[in-house]
Amino acid sequence: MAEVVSLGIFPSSFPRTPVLRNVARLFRSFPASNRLWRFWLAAKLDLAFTAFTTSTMGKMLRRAVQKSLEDYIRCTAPSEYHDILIPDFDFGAKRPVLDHGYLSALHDPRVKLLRSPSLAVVGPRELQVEDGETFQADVVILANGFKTQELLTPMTIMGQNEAELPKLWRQEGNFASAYMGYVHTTARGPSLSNALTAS
Amino acid sequence: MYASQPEVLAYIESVVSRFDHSSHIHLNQECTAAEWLDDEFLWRVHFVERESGRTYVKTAQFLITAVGFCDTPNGAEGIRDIQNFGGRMFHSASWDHSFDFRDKNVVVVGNGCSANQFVPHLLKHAEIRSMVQVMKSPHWIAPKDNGPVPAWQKW
Repeated sequence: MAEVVSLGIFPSSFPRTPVLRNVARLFRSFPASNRLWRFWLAAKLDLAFTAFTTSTMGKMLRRAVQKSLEDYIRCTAPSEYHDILIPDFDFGAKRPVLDHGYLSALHDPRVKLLRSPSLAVVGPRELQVEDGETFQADVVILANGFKTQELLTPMTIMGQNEAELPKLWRQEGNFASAYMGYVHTTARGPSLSNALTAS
Repeated sequence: MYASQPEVLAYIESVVSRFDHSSHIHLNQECTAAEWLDDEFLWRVHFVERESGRTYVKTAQFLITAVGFCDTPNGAEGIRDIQNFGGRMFHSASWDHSFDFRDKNVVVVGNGCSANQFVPHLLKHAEIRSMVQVMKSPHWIAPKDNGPVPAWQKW
């Protein structure tokens, strides 16, 4: 059986190096060189597929990526949150998140981050986390994601012989899934390029 | 390079108006079912007009679904006794733009891509009183390199 590894999306964390003036001049005089450069950049991203494999090279790459992301989280977020913000699982096991200024915003004195496996309402405007800490809530914003395993629902898609699409998928055991998907090592090209540009 | 929501929206609107597409686009319509008619070789597609609740049917030779998978938000059933909550609650995907955040205690549930985007925005632009964010598990968070595109790069 071919090797299957769990899918994550490689973040766009490649350093964006400024283009030197003479390189810019080269691009201008020989438009083809610009295209070639662009092709190389794309190829470089595809080569990152190795980071999703279980090979020694893959592990090394993952460790390097994790080190740089951990450093980033450490130097951007307040120190009291480092423990709960830094994952204990390998990079690539879950879709990484691109930072939109979130980590530095945690320095705001009005905000408090709590990690808890559960949440409960204990008063009309009061909530409580697992360890018993309570806090006031005038508004709750759910940012708990989407039903990513229910593609095309709640639509009913009926094909020949009244076959229903999501039902059919489940029946065959090949249920179409996205977030908890996987990359097939023999089909690396297309899957990876999609994955890379999706985030 | 990452464009912001207003920029993306402005771009979509400019394309729609440039190609005069507005008459072909119907917003706020929910597709509830689609069935293949073997005898007629057609798809019969059922819709609900969200505002009026009116249902109608269209037939087509080709049916393309492009619904994505971030279309159905998760609910609040994970929060114990949520029915006793007396405040306002909404999912970030169906944001309540009428809600006045001034001097409010805000609770955010989750810390994925969505929270990452609106938490800094709320702290910067809304005069909230406090914010508590509750997370279950962490994510690897990567820096977003963003900046203006110089003229020579646009080709």
